[in-house]
Amino acid sequence: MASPAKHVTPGAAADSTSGSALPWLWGLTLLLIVGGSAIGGYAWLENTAGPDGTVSASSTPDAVPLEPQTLRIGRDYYVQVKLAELRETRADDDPWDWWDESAPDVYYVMKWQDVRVFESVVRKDDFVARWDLLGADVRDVVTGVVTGSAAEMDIESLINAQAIHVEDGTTITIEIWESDRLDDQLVATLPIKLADQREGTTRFRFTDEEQPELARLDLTIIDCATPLPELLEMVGQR
Amino acid sequence: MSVRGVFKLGVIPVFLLLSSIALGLGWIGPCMTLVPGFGVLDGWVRLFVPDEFTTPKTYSIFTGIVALWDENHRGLAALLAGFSIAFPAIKLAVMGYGHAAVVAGKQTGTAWWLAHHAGKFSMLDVLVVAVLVIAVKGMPGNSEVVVGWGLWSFAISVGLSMLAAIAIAWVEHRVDHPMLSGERVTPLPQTPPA
Repeated sequence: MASPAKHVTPGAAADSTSGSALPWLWGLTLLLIVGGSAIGGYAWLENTAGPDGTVSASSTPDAVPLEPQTLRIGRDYYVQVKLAELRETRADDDPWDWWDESAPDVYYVMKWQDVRVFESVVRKDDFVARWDLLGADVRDVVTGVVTGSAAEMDIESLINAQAIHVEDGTTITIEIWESDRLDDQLVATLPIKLADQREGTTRFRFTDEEQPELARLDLTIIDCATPLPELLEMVGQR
Repeated sequence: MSVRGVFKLGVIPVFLLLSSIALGLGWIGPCMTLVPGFGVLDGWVRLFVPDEFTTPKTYSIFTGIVALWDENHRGLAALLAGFSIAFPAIKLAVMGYGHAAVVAGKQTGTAWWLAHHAGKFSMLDVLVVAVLVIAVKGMPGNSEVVVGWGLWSFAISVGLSMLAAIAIAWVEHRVDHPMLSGERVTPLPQTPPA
């Protein structure tokens, strides 16, 4: 039987010449193609998606960037007082809680369209009162876990903020109160026109003349359409 | 066209080329995504547990091996790297050599024979992910593994290279026959019917 190299077929001579000259060239070419595909594919993935191959959240139309931006008319926003710092004494230099000489017990009330829409929990004995955007009653959590109803609690119920529909001219009123055993004392009243505000946290500082008992206030405004991961990221930025 | 012509210009080089492209993409494409689930406590866990435990994680073959290495599972990382990265690439190079050798009328050699017969182990990665999918499905909390296109690309690469290897072996064993070599021969005389 004749060996394959001796067959007389058209192009066989050329095959033999090219094949024997560089038998590894074809193999090397395949290796280069493998490497090129990997590098090209990686570059493509980097340009079109995150490093894990998933589409980045910022590409979705409803995603809200973390940078502050002016509120958009016609949308709903969560509004929350993140921090309220009271001065050392009352306007008349009296202590806040004169009978036990403790720091003030602070809470705030939000009014919209002249009605009370939100009231925070009281931060006891604190000149710098802070409120988290998300919170849960530990008793509810424990009860829910024990009874198996924890999974039925929705995220909305955990948000310590009021959803406000913003139109041109929408104004809310923030009232800072000092909780007292006998009679709560109004510390400050702040009307805020929402259309002039920006997303994120805005810090207001007040002079003695502007607010004799309130030194500063941090107001957080977040688009209600903010995806949960970004909402949690904002919560983490305490 | 002769069998050798078909062999040279036909499907085998295409198989090898496509297999090479698919292998490169299979290395870096998303191979699997681990989606953690926590059953009835899902909402609570996602609220209070750090993101790294709750967000889905996507691995390619390459990043999976790197992750195993970083987690000090270096033996497993080396095993997967050997059978998923080094071996398939070397195998393709050897098959390219084997293809060129057969076209030139030579024998493919021992290296090609080894690559062809050890090729079955290239599916190790696919097997590992398949086992993971089944194992995670059995866990409580609705966790799951979602297979990505990277794994399919890798599997296609391995499949095409195996087809190419089979085709090369088939032609190599038959190319000595004049009918298959393309050489014109005189037909054998017909045996008269009994």
